Amino acid sequence: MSWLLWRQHRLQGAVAAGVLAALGILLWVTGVSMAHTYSTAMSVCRANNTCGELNLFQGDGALVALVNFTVLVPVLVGVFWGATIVGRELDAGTNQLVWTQSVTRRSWLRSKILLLLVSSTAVGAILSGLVTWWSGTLNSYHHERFEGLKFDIQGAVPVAYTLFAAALGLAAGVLWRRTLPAIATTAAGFFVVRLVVENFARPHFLHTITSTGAIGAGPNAPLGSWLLSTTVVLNGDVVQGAIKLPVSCAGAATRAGASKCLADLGYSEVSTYHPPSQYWTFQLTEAAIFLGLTAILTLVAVVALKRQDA
Amino acid sequence: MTAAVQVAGLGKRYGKKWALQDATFDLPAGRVCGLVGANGAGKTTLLRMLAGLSKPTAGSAIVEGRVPGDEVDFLSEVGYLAQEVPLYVRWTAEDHLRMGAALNPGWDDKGARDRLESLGIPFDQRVGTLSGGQRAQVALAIALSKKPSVLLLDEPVAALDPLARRDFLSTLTEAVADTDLTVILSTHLVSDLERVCDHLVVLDAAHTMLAEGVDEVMATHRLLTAARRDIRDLERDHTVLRVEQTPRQVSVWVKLEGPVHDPLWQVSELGLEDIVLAYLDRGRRAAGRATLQEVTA
Amino acid sequence: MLMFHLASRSSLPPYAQLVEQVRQALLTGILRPGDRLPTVKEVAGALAVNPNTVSKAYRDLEREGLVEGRQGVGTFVVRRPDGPPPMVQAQLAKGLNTWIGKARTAGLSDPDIESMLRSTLRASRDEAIA
Repeated sequence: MSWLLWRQHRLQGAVAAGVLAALGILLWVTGVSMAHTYSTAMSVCRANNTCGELNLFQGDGALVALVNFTVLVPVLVGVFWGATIVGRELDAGTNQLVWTQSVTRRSWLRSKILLLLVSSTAVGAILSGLVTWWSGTLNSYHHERFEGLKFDIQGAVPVAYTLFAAALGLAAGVLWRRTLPAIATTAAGFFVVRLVVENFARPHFLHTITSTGAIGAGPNAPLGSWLLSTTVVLNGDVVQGAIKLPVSCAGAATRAGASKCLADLGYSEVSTYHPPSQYWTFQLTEAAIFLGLTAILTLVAVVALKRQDA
Repeated sequence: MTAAVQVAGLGKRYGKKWALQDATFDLPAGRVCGLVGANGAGKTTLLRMLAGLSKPTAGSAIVEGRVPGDEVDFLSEVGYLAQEVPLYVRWTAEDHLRMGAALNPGWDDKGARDRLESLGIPFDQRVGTLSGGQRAQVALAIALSKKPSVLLLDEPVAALDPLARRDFLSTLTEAVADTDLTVILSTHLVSDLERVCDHLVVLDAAHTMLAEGVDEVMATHRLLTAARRDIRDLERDHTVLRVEQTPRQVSVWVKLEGPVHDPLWQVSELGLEDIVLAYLDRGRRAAGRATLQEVTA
Repeated sequence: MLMFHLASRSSLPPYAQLVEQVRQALLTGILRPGDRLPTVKEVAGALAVNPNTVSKAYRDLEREGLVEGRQGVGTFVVRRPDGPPPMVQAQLAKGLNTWIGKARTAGLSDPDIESMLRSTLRASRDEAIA
């Protein structure tokens, strides 16, 4: 069975290893350089107290975009590995060949699933390890790891997403018995579930904190929070739409002055956020959700295949 | 001696439709059995159930004393070759042999290699680029080299040119000569039946029409001709398969259940092809579909 | 070594054709006592024919005393069949040729000749049994 798995999937393994290696080299080289740039700049700006005006990494847009694109890796694993590992055999009819050798369908499936889950975990873990390490500098600089895309590509969730996509592909392949519909279902299903969880479930994993402060006096939420919403309130009532600077405050000389002027008029800013201390709880909760889905989908695949005719 | 394959009332239903119904026959070991039937009579369904690839809805099957299922003991006794001749098209013949060796405990690697070499099949070429006949031979070599006791072949030669067909059947008969292999071979080509098969099973959609050794079939089926007359006596004493009438003459295809007493019947032997066609025609008529036209002159 | 062939449109079943070919080979001297017949496997493979058919033919020949199977070695010719020597065969063939010429002149077609021969043979066989 191990020879069979190697022969069937050696190319996929080689491609994945190659891509991860290339990515690893790129991220290691640039990551070391960025960390160095940042630490140098920080020691300089601390000495001169100019850290508020730091403007680093402007030319690295393409690199940052590339790293952001790794959010697609899980669905690629689902489509190229998950949907094909069983689905392609059913599509081509080669299951009739391999299931009439002397290996049972059960042990064949078990081996295939094990390979899929282990290699998906490896890809997810290596990818996440690389990206999380590389993002260390940007996390210190921008404090953005709790927000949106940055949350999705670091920490524990990339592993869980990859496993989920793989299991989704596996189940789709078994149920459709055709590669193309399986691929389409996997991609669509993955995006839908991720969107739903990210937008409707994630904000509710833990309680939010609400804090009120003056407009323009700096962030009301601590650095590294996940800011859910900011509303402007005037004497207790929420103000909709854009705020125009009232005439009476137009003459304020500094930002701080304008801020105080608005506060005197009764304006304040209410921020709803998840504090950075909640970051890992969120990571692990979302990972647990997707691991649970992985288990369910894997079970669905196993049961469905058992009940099908070959 | 227990039969190698025992099938009793075997049937398979998909939704509301029965793909195979009430198949019943016993096949002695060492026989090469031809499985014949119209399209849709359930030949593929039957073979897949015997191979353990699908589960029966009704009835039972025993192959080499075991119920077909997902067990190593069973799988190593039975070889199966599907109609589409599934192979990994990007693999070479060499790859396929390695797969056979890896997945089968009783793998005869030397036999497989000798067989392919003697057929001139290249080992290092992707099987997707081989001819249909060569692919069928590779698939047959895989099925034979796991040294099964029973080999199930689903229309293996239907898509092959005559030469490739002859080569395939040669390989098969040689393998049967070597070992005690029992073979069930579904086919449309009745001429192959006569050479290769010594047992015959004819299926139609509703039941098994015939299941006997070829020698018995040849001995009991006759064509009776006479001047046009009443055939009710014949119908009472024997199994009438087919009747053709002209104003002057009547021809009756029968399976004799005893001697023909009436001297007015001229008795002639039938070739296997004609016997099989008579059964298939009978099956079609029983299903109420259009029949071969009665010949009027 | 004897090469077998099977005629697809023959009225004889395959095993009978094989028996007949061995007998003919013995009569004409192609096969001689002491020669080894091809193995069942060789014939089955060469002709794409069921090995039981070949075994049956060899058993028939063995029963007639023409061949003898030796375990592990092969099947060997023992003696020529009881039948006319080649000379007599040639004479009979010549006589048959003359008759055929007469039948054709009389207007019988080849198929007519064949069916006349067959039904006469059958009738004479039935007479012999009765």
